[in-house]
Amino acid sequence: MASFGRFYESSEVVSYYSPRFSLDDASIVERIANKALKGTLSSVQNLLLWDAGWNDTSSIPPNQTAVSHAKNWIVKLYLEVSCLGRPWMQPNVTAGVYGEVVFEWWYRNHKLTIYIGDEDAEYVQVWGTDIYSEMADGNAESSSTCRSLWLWLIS
Amino acid sequence: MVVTPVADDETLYRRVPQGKNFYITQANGTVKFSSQAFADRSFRPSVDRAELCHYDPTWTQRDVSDGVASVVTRDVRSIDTVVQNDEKGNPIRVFCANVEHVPIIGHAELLSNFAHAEIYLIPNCTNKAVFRRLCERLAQLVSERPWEIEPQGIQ
Repeated sequence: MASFGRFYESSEVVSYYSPRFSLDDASIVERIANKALKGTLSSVQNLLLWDAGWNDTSSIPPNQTAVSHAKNWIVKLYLEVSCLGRPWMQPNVTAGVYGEVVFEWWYRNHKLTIYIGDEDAEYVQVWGTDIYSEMADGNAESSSTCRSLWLWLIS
Repeated sequence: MVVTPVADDETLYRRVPQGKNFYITQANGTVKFSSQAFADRSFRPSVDRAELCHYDPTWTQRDVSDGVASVVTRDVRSIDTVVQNDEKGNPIRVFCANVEHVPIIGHAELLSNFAHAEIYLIPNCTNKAVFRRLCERLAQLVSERPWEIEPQGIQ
């Protein structure tokens, strides 16, 4: 979480959260997020220990950039969910074969997968078995998308 | 080595390495597989034909701690609504899934495996978004069946 302060001071987060608490409260928010996400952040960090070829001969393990991005992204999602007043669910944490950090949640018949690469975050939503009409995908970087995805997941 | 057709009723084994968080066990005991259990950089997930390895799922293990899940060929071939959209979300290409026998003989890096087969899309797909949706569906299919071999140790 060394980069949390920098993340928190980013313009997008400040503009969204400033009505709720000041930057002086960042350390309090950091402690809360750290505690709530302790297991998840630890699981993400541990992905750096995976070797090349961790799944098959061509699998790339996540690198430091993707791991840092994933930590910042999950903290952002957690804060969004907190501000919405909705319950948090710990994700399954694994990796993709291209070195992405992958978060997954299952809730009733909803499944949400998030792929975090060095610079991008993408989602796949699943609410049935038909790949065309019951799955959707897109970019998951913006705060508004994060909120929408969570509200959909728990609906 | 003769390459033979894969019949619809054939069971296919998929290795699930222990410790990579490729599944969760829900509170009611239901196992949900991660889509990453089928991720593959060549867009052709490997499986073993049960019929060609004497219905012995240990054939598919690389390590004794590995789990082995299974799927039926007919169910894979029933996946026929994989659609690639353009940037505006309009469908431009439709894929269907298939399974073919790809025995591994004399490979420089891989152990010989005459039961080896691959799941692939027709027409050939190298689109990540499309393949991710296929992996979600394959994960659903293996989640519907009991373990052939449950992974050892704590997930």
